[in-house]
Amino acid sequence: MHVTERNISLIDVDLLISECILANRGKPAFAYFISPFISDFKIPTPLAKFASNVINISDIENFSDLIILLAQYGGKVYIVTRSPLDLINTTISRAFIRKQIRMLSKLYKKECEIRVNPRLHAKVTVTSQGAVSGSFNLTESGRFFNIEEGQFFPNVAEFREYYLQKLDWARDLFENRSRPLNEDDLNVNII
Amino acid sequence: MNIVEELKKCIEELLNKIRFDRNISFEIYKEIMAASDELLGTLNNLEKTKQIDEQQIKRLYENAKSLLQMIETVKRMRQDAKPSYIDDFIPSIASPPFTMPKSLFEPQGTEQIAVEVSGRVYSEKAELALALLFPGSITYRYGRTPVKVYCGRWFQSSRARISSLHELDPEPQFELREGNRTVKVYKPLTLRAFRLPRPHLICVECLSLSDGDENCGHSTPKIPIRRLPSNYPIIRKLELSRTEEEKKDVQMPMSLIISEVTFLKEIEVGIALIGFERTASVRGGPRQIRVTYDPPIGVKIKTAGISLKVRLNDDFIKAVLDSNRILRRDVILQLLANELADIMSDVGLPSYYHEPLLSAIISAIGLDEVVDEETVTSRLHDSSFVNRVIGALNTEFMFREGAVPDAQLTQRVLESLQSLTITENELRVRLYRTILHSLAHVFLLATAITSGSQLDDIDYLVNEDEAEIVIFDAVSGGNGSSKTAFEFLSEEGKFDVETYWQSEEKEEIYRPKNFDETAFELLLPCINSIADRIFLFGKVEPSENEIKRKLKELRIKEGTHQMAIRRIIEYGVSRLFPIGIGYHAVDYSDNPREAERFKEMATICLHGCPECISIGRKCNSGSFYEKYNISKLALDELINYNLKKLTVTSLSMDEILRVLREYGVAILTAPCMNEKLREELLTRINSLVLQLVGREIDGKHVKLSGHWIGTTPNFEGVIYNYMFQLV
Repeated sequence: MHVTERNISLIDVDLLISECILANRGKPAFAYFISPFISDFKIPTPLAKFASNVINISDIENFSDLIILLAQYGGKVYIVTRSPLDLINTTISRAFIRKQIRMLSKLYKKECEIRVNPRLHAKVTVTSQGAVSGSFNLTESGRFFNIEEGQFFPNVAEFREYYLQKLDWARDLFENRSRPLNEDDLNVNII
Repeated sequence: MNIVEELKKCIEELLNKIRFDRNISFEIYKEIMAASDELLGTLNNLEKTKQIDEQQIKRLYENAKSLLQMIETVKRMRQDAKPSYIDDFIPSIASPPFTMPKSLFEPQGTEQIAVEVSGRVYSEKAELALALLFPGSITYRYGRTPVKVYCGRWFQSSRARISSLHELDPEPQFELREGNRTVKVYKPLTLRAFRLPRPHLICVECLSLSDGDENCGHSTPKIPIRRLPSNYPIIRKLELSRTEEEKKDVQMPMSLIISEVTFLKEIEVGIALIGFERTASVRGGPRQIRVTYDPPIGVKIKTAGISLKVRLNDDFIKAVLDSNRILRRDVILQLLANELADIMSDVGLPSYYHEPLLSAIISAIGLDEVVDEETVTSRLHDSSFVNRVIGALNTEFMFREGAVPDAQLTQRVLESLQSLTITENELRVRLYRTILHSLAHVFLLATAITSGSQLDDIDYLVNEDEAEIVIFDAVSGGNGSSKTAFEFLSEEGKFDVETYWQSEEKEEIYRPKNFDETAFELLLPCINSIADRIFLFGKVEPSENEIKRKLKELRIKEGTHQMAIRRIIEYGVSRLFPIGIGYHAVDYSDNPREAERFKEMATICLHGCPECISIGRKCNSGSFYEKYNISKLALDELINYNLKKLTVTSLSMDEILRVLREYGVAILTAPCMNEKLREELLTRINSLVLQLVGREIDGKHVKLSGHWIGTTPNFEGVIYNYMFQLV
């Protein structure tokens, strides 16, 4: 399915909600977030609106809350991004690096597995239910503001081949081509 | 017609004549017209002046009333006390909502009531006094020793005559319809209380304390108690007047149930205390009694609220009564229970006999079975009815403390009940009331969750004629709860990336849970009930963690409650509501502990479980009669009936898209009756969900906006539900 800035946030949220449902059912649930730039953003209320008697989405305000909720339900969260330590030597604004540190620290504390790669440019989200790849960073601008384009491959028979390609690639990137994030990456002195 | 209007009419007639009189010169015509304009202007000004005067007089009257209240406050204060202008007088003279509590721990309110505790007088807010310091209540508010508000004896009729014990306003505040009678409600000016002497002895029959105030005349023993009994007021509320403001609509799917919501800027409510319920643990088991006041006491409050108009049509009531025979029998039972309560109150039989008597009636007329109203009516009219009930009542008391009720009074109650003929129309009215009342509980809970208030901060009224539920702030002047719930009523406007980016919405501090979202969640099948039903009757076990956890808890009980569980499974789903009332379904008379275990298991959720729509003492019918006035089963039917047109039962994408296009919401419902096929079913559903998510339809996108599980009608299987919405 064609994905643009108009529906990417909706697909993101629904993929994570589906993953929470699976995790609550005791099934293996996971999410790979691959994006060089990561910062938290508020989920628009119509997207967070959800009624259920088995999973609790009530307190969801930011995207990070939804990721943490998945982790709390027993889902595995894998993140590959660029280290703030690398970003400090680029022209990226200090304000943004602070945002990236804040988001990564929040997820790091909640036992999400975070790895870093200085050459990362790809932007992909893969869960057990589907894969989204495209130009969008996991930031408010990438999800709402910029003109973005990409593809969504749900994990159904029709798209399984493409989905598995993305999943294998994400796994390989996470396990073999990235190093674990450590406290030093987050203790960056930003003037 | 008043004199000003008469004069205006005369001038108009005169002007008409002049306009058509050719003999009058133009100059004179102009002069007359100018003079008449002046005269009309003066007359208009005169009217305005009169109106201003009326408003001024009204304002002066209100001020005088406030000053009078202030004088009363001063009069009630102790001589040595140092009154504070802000603390003690502002609440009396300021107009709501500008009344300020002294501290975070002080209640709001403008009305004051004096409480005299063994000679010392305390001034309390009326709302607090009615909630905590009602006759018969026990408080630790005035020191370490418990203080009891005088109530007097009630043991013969459960009626406490309080007019001679407390100082009541001689003029009634308002009138209240209670049963078939209209009663006057009086404002208490001074409530008298005393320090409770030790030891605390209680009558096992009527729960009266031997404290020199209540002392009953029962011959049954008075036993010492360690913990003092809990008392809860029985409150009746009545809308006296209202000022409506803004109106709003809710979104699908709640718009199928709520047609319109109006914010009530000001609503005057009469709050009457008609009695209280007392619960005490006597010889290991909880006992409850209900005492009524003669006369009722209360106050009027001006507050804010929201009015919710409900869509509840006759077709639905008729259809559900015809299709659900278990609910039909439950409605018959509710009708009998309420009728019995009214007759007992009229005859003067204490309310603590309500449950044993109802249990005996259920046993005598076979209401454990799914029977229709004709059978019940004919069994009620049967000449052996009274004797059979009295026989069953004796069996009932094998498990209870105290003596059977007075034979003569019981006879009178049962004879009155015999004259009852249950008709189809009565059943429809009863079900209509039950659904409205149950919805009121749901909306009250949703208001509390949305606004972040406690249940004590808000209250509700049900207007049956208009199918309207009013939720209001339970304090004069209001506390903002209903305003907040109204502000966060529903998510308005569609989601659109461009408009979202430009809107102020993203600047919000937090995402509030909308009222309609909360209410809808409360209407979904309750997790406890699903677990209970699956535990007892299910063949398919859901793998959802929440339910697995509850099932695990229930399985722990299996060790100790084996016999009770086996018996309940034997009785079956259809009997769950009636067998939970009294002890008529218990037949192992030699083992009271087993009887209690059976009672505990018999109240499993099928019919308004405690954790979803029960609000206990906040219920307008009181916790004593709550289960005879609400029904989760009826709400389940309401939601099923209304969601029918949104429901897609086949795993067909085209069908889901069709419903989405038509209503903007679609619910995919898939029952699972075989555990082996569950994985396959869920995989197919997941695949469908994934192919729908994010899809663009008519400029909007499909969103997964709900997932819940329920049980099949016979509770053997599980129903998986997925809701999609266009955003």
